[in-house]
Amino acid sequence: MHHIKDIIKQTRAHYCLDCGKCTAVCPVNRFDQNFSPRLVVQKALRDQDSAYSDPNIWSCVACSMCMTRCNYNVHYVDLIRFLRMKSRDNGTELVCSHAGITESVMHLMSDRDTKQDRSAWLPSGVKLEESGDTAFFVGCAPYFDVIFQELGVKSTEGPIGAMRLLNRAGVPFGILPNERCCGHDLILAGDLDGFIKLGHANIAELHGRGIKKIITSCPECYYTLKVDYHRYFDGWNIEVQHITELPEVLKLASHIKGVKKVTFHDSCKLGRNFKIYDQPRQLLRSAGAELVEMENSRENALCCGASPWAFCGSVNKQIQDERLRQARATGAEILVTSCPKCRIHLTCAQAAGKQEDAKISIMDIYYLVSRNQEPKEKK
Amino acid sequence: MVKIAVFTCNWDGWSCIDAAAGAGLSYPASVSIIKLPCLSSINAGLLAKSFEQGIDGVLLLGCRAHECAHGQFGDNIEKEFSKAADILKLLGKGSQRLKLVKLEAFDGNGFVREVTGFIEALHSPTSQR
Repeated sequence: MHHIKDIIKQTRAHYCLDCGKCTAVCPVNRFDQNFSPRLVVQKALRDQDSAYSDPNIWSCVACSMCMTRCNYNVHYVDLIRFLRMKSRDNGTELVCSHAGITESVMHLMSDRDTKQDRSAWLPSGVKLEESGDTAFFVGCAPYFDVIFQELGVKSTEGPIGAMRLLNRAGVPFGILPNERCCGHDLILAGDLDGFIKLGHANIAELHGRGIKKIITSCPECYYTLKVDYHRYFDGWNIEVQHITELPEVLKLASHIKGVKKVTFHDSCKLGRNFKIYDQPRQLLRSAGAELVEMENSRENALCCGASPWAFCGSVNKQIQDERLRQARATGAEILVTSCPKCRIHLTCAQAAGKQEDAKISIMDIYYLVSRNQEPKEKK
Repeated sequence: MVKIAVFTCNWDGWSCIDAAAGAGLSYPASVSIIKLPCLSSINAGLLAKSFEQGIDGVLLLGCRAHECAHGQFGDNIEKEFSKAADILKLLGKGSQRLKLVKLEAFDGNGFVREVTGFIEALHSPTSQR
């Protein structure tokens, strides 16, 4: 692994002027004044040992809000990931959410001999190519369906909707029967070895099937495959596209019936990292939905309070509650998300929220806009 | 030799294992026993962690319905058991690596029969990874 000096250079942390704009916009700092991105950077520059053992490095939700304000482009999320790797090396134990099941599943998947049986959720109507060089990267949705069944969230609705849109747009694709997790949450939790193992298993699967292009609907898979695989795996030359980048898909107008008002929750990865703000909105509008914006949207969108399935606490819940309050205030019928994790987190917060609060329906964008293609599933 | 973890409750489940030991019954040395106050405290995360750490099969040993010393009726354990079984199925490891057994108190023979049967089933060709 790299030396702290290299990381400081790579992440431009040495340009930090201690101005505090990052802390002023940080959603975590809004609810927990002990956490300050500015102080984390300053500690990393001055006293690395105390930075590694600082419990605050685990509070960051990696929403990149600080990076949109930093005048000197300090790559704060990369710095946090590095500090977490060092902290793990020094013996920090993760306090895992959901009894650590997601972390265990990611590790179990990374075994090269694993032969998953992960396609049972696929509806018969989806057309898949047997051979071909384009793969749709599903993500961990089949596992989320099992793990979060109490919440009533069907995460596979997202990929099902996305694949229906691709079918309708005439884009050919197949899926990988033995696709592994992209490793986003392992690297965010400082587990570089686990991430590398998953990456090698995925690359072997992709190369074995002659895949040259990946399309995905999951913002975190998109970021990891496009940015991190490029960074960590020499010779990674597979083209990665997000479904909203395909003009054929954006041209579709599906006219959702019965939906009047929706509000769109920007995913941090898709929004602030790739500036994909207009495309999902275009998809919703062309589907006939009336779109209303929340108090914080686009580059100012509030995070869903995500974490790498670890250290989820009261601050994360307060961020989620605030986001739900903003969604309800719009008067929208549906809060639309483009990320399976955002949907899980916001649904979890709503389920644990106050009884008197009105409930808002939380749906996946691809499922919502593709819904009218399957008359049986109309609600 | 397949590695087996047995999660047992402190009450009827443990009494079966104790009775087996008291009667001098034997079972394979690769079986590790983990005693919990009640099987309802187990969750799918803990079961997945066992497999992550290299355990080949997990046997859950608890009280029969309405016999629980903590007044639990098994809903939680059934739910977590089926969740872990579904995860194992997705991972292609086969849900037969997980078994839930509810025995009458002090049934030492029953415990040895169940655990050896479980190990034999894991040895059968259909259960191999």
